[in-house]
Amino acid sequence: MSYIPKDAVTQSFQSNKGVLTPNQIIELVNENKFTMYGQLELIQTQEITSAQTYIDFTNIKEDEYNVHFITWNNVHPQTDSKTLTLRLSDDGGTSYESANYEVAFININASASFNATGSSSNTFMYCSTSVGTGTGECANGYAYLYHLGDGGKESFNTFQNSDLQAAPTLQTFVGSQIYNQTSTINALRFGTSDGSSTWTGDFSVYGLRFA
Amino acid sequence: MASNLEFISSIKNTTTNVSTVSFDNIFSDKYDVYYLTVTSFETNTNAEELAFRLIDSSGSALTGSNYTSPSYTLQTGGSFSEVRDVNQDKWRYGGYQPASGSTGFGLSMYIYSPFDSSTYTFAELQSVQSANQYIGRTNIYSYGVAESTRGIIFTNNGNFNMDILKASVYGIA
Repeated sequence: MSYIPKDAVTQSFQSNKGVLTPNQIIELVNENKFTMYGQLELIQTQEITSAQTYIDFTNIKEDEYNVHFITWNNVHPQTDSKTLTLRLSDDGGTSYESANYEVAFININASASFNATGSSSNTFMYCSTSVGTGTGECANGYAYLYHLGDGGKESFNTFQNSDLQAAPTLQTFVGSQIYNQTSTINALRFGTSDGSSTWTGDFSVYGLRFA
Repeated sequence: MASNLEFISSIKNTTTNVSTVSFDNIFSDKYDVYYLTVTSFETNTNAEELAFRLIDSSGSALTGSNYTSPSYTLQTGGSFSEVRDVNQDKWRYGGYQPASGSTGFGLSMYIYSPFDSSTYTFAELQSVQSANQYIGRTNIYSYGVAESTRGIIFTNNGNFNMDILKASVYGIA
């Protein structure tokens, strides 16, 4: 029994009162009512060491988070010069959408003129392009995803990456992408759009609490 | 509990037809770097851009011509367009919304040293919206006076008011 019983006061994030037992703290943590900082909450990490064609996240807690943060790090294709893509699913990963994406990004690179890419009818979202298999070549990046769990909104993405691509050339993309159908997205897939390579690397999905 | 992204505050405005929404007392000496996300932005009756001003240490909006904003508009078709705002009275082009029927909005912004009175304030922004072919902005911002600021005012590029704005701010420890 607490000095001040937990239930005698209203506990909430950034407003905890009384003396609490460890079990009461655990209970409040599970209810998101105990003040602990660290609001970028890891949902799942997949460290792929045996190359696979697709890296799927089928439990993304889209009903808990309005903003997701995803990262890809030290990602290597097993076939040279492949594009790492992101696709969304609204059926729990049974299938992934292959249409209705809009993309716009700038390619900043160390060897040629910067170039802009835009499309209102793409079949995927970009993570990285022309990822190579040579020494040091890999893809790294992050994206913020908005409104995945809101069935009344389209799904939005801002992203940036840094790659040593297949030439090899150091490149970065900075851009915005949309899946322009209003639906509840509940799974994500990384891979090539045509399944033409397997991949290794580290992939993570986070939720942003209170966004 | 390894994450050092620490929630500070959130704001949600649903009062219609307002020209500004004040997000005050969010910057302090506890953090040097902040992450701001805007997840809802809807205009009143006309299409408009989201813009920002800083709030000084006494709670007043900073309206001097000290805001600089290079901005790149990302488009699904046509050439991307550049804007080079120098010495304006606000940070502009934060993200576009159409006149009606918003299907969503997303914005991420990192803000550097806003509370530090010995340095300028800097920021980076990426936004995404569904509005014909203009689907994104990527900007960098500076406020060119070394003074302490404690918050942000959301406003518009200069024309039309907003109805809805929802934002959250975090400190990066």
